[in-house]
Amino acid sequence: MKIELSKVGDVAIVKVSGRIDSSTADSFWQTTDQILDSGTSNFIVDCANLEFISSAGLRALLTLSKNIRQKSGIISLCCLSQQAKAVMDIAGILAFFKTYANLEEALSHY
Amino acid sequence: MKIKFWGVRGSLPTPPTAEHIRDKFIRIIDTLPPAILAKPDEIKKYILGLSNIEAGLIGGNTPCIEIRASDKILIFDMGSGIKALGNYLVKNEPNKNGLDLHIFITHTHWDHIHGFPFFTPAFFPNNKLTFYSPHPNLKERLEVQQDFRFFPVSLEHMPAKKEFVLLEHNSTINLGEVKISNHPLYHPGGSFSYRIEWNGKSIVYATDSEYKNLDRESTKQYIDFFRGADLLIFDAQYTFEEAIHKEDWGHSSALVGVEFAVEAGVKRLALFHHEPERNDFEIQDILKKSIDFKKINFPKQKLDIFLAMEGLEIYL
Repeated sequence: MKIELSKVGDVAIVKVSGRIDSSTADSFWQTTDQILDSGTSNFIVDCANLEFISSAGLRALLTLSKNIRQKSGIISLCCLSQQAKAVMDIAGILAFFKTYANLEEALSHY
Repeated sequence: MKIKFWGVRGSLPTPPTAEHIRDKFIRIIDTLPPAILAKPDEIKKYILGLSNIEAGLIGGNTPCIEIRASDKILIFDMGSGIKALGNYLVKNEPNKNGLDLHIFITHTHWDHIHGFPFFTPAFFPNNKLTFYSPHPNLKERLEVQQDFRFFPVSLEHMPAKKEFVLLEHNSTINLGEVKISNHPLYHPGGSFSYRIEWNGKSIVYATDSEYKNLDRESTKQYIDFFRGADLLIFDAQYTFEEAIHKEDWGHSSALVGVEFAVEAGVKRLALFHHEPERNDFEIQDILKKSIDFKKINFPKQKLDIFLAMEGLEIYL
C-alpha cells in the first residue's frame, strides 16, 4: 500500500494505492489519524488506485469516518471501483460515506 | 467423521413467530408454478423440494453440536439443542442406557449450558458423562444453574456418572484415536475454540469470539489454529458493521470468517450462532453477501460457505 497526501484548501486528499488489508490497515489508520490530530478534519480518500480492501481496511475506513464526525468534519470517497463499492456495500458501511466519481466532483462539495 | 447440528442460534432460544410462518406460506404461494396450482400432489412434491429456509426453519435452538469420530460420541456445548440430541440418543443408540458421552464446553454463558437440565441421558445411572473445559469450576457453575431456586432437580440428583476434566489452555488431549485441541477466544468471560482431528480430517468449532484487531499479528493465532481444517464453524452473529458498533459484545461477522477461512486454507465454512433478532430470510441474506464477498475479494480460492442449520448432518 502507498499513501500520497496533499491538501486543497482545508481538505486533506489521501490518495491510496494497492491493498488495504491486515498488513497495511494499521499504517493507513495511523497516517490518517495523524492528519486528524494535526487539526484537519475534512478528508477525501481517493481510491482510484485501490486494488483490494479487506475487513481490516473496511474497519480502518469506518473508524476514520467515526473520528472525523466526532470533530464535525466531512469525509468522502472518490473514484471507487465497482468492486470496492460492492465490498463496502456488502459490509454495510457504504452508507457512512459520500461517494463521488472523481476528485473534482468530490472537492466541489466542500 | 460425522457432525450434526442440534442448535445453531446465538444468545437465546428463538422459536419462529406466527408472522414468520405466515411469511413463509405467502412466499411459497408466490413462487408456485402456475402449472401445478390445481394439483395438490404436485404442490406437495414442490414444497418437499424446497430448502429449509424456504419451507422449513434454520432453527431456533441454542448451540449444541454432535460429532462422531472413531467410536466416540462428542458433544460441543449444551444449549437448548441438547434436549433433542439427548432424546435421540436415549431412543436410538444401542447402548442407550450405557452411553459414554464426552461433552466439551466453550464457556458457560446461558445459551451454552441452559439445555443441560433437560438432557435425558443424565437421568440414567448407567450413562457416563465426562465434561471437558478450560474454565475452572465447571461443576460448580452447573450446580448453580440447577440450584433449587432455578430448577427443581439438582446436578447431584441427576443419576448419570459425571466426571469433570479441566483442560489446560492451548492443550491437546487424545480420546483413543481422536485428538481434541483448544485455543482461547476473545469473549466476555472468555470462550474457547476446539479443533477435532481424526482419520486425516479436522473440524474447528470457534464460536463466541470477537476479533477486534484485524491486523496480521493479532489474527495469526486464530489462522494457525484454523489452518487447513476441513470444516470451520464460525461465529457469524453480526453483520460486519454491527460487529464494529457492538464492540466488546463478543461476537463476529461472516465476512471476517470468510477472510480467516481463505487465509487458513479451510475447505468449508459454516456460519453459526445466528442472531436471535433475525428471521431466516435475513440470515440467508448474510450467506448471500458472504458468498458475494468471497467472489469479489478471493475469486480464485476454493471455499464452500453455508449456513449451519438445525438437523444438518455433514460427513467428512
